[in-house]
Amino acid sequence: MLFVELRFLPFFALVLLVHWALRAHTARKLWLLAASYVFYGAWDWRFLGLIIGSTVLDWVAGACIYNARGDRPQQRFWMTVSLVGNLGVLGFYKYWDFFAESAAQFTAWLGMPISAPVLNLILPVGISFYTFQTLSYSLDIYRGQLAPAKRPLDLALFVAFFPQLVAGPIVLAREFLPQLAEDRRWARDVDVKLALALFFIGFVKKSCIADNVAPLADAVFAAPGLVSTADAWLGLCAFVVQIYGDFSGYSDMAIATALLLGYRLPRNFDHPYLARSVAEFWTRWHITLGRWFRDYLYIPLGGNRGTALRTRANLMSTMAVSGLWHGASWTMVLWGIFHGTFLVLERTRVLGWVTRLPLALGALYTTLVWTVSMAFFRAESLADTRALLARAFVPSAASEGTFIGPSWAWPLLVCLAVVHVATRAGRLVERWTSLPAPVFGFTLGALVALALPWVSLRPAPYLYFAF
Amino acid sequence: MAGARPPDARVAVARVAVARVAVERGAVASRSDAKLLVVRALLPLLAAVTGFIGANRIVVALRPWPAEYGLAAKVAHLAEHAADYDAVVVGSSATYYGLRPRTLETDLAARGHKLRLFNLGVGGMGSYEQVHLVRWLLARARPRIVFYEEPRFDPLLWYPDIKNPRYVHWHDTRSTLSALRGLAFVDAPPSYKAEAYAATWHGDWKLATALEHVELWALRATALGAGPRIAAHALGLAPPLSPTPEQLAAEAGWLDIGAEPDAGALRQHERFRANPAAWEATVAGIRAQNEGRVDLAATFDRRAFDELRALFTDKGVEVVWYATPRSIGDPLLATLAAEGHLTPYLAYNRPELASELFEAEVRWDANHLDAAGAERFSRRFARDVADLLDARREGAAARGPAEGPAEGPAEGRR
Repeated sequence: MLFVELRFLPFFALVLLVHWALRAHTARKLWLLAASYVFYGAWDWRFLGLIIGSTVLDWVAGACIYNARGDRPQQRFWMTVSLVGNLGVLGFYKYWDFFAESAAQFTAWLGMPISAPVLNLILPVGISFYTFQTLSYSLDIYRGQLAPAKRPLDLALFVAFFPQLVAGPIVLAREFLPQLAEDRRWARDVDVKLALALFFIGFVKKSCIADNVAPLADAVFAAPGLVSTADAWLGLCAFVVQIYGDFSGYSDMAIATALLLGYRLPRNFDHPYLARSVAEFWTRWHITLGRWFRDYLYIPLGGNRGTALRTRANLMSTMAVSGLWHGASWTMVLWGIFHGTFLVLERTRVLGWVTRLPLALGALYTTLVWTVSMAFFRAESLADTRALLARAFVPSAASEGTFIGPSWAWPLLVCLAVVHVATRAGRLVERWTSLPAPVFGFTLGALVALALPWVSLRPAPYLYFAF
Repeated sequence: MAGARPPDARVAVARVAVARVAVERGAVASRSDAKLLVVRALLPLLAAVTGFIGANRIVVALRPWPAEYGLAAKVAHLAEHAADYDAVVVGSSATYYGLRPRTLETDLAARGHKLRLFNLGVGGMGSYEQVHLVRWLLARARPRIVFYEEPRFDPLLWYPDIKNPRYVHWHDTRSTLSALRGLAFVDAPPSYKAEAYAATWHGDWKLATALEHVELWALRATALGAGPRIAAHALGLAPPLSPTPEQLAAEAGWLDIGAEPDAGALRQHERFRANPAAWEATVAGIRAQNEGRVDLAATFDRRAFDELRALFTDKGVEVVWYATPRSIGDPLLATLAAEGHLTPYLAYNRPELASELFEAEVRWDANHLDAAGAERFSRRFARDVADLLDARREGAAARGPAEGPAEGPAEGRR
């Protein structure tokens, strides 16, 4: 079930009504857990077992780690159980085919061909997200930063909470479990105007913007070696818009949905295309993933506490793993390394100066780096990436019969860039939600009516559902 | 009793306890607060609904007619020039390419009937779309006569892509309700859709079709997905309309199908010309189909038909029903005609009565006449209409001036 599907409306209306109608906190949590399982089961009920299994595993591991305080080897054992269990399932479903194919290619290159079976497994939706959430639970207990959940229900709801279940934001146990411990109050915990505004904005980003520019990107990436230079850039820029609208739109709707239920989810995007540098970009794009990698990978690797060389190696390896998290392919690994390279270079004299550029130039540089990196992110293969980048950087005309960008495309992208700047510079959301309720209601109603005509009738699938 | 409180104090304590519970549960403490809460919730809701309706009305009003097969061009032409015409011929592509108003006008004038005609034939015209179009026309103009092709009220959605602009456009509330009612008179879905309908959660093709109609109604009411078309139209970025205003003015809506055929039309043409024997068999089949009869009570939405007739009557517009020389016979129309429901009725779907229209040399393909065929059809149509008008004139003269149908100058009737 998707937030933009019609069936989500009656589902959520029912969930909301019953949630606030129930008086007992435990009953509410049980109701939300049931709703979350239904929400996920609507996609494929067979994979519910993975979520429940992951919950049970970390409930047991968390308790054992906590109970073994003072016994580090015992704690390490249970932490390893959690890591192996969670990452094993993720690795099996997401990376088995990738590693099997890569191993086969590598051994063939060595002249000793060994073929591992390719299983063509279905990737369970959201597995990359909820696996990281459950891991954060065990890891935080292991580090002594969190006490285990008091009830299995709390942990189960933390893992399966439907607003953020399939595509984040990646919530940490230490920020969500305390919310579950306390009763929710409508008057105290729900900011209706903010929730409605966020849901509307997210809906517009996904259904009115991302889905409408998706065909431009699709057309260019379908024939990356045949398009003109201008259209190669058009396709890349269209994808830059699509991926932001798609993912940040989903995050906005997730945060809004949770907020209406009385729960606060962390912010996941903060105008990333206005970042002055790639380093700043990663504090504004998919913030909760960056935070997870920082807390649970980069810092444990040593972070920036060692030599400059060690710090650079830590950055590169974190970004390479981040690339692999986004997708089981070498293009994704290269995408991560590409970003890692810029993060490293920005710490040197080569690109250190960009952080001192005026905002407009810095944002232009950052967005350009991101745009070029999309050739790795979106292309089907390294050959396609190479072909598209060649078209983008070597002036070329379109081959006969290939896609030619429509005349409205560039003006549209420029308008969207202006809106991106204006929403931040003008603090439009803050101003809008601070209007008196009737005025807010009137503008929301009018904006909904004005937005509906722009909803794409052929919605593109959520990009981040594949991660 | 030691420590006992007086009764009024106990009541006060109980009240405080109740108030605490109420506050704990988020309830309001007094009736005035409750009212305030309702007003606080209701006012923004009303404001939101008002904002939505206001903006939605503007958006819906800005939505252009679908451009496909000359629809938008013809509507735009009539929006400006409807008053220039005394009669409008409304129908499908068989009408669009088959009836040439200039020929009709000339031949009718030669018989003493001065009529200015417009061809409102549109490719792929559906039953309810045709009614919708006529409603639009009669809300703006009052022609003397509307020639109406084949009133059959088929509620099935034949195109695979139901969300096409044509389907969406005619699904106003009235037409949607009419189409939903019309489902009662159909006993099978389009064969190619049967499997998909059966695969729905309920497996009922009628319910599935009804839901499709409701979906189309919702798409129309919200203008969902119509933004690019609205913007292109408003900003003048939409592709130029076809036929051009000049073509429409010159030929009053008729188009020679062979002048600039698209790839699909060319394919049909080549297929038709490649197999003349098949056409002979088709014509024989048409005759047989026309011999068939149907149970009108079970297969024909009489109420929709009566409403359509009432529309013409209310507007004081005479309607002449007709069938075009297409590649299939029609037991429904044959039954309607035989039982006297289509009066007057010009049946050109009967090869035995209009054999000149079924000769392969004057046909572009199985369903359309070429320019020479259109000339023949138009002359035959003009002759029959002139006979009809002559009969009316004679009947009127026999009954006296007060009772006969008016046939004076068109301007006098508008």
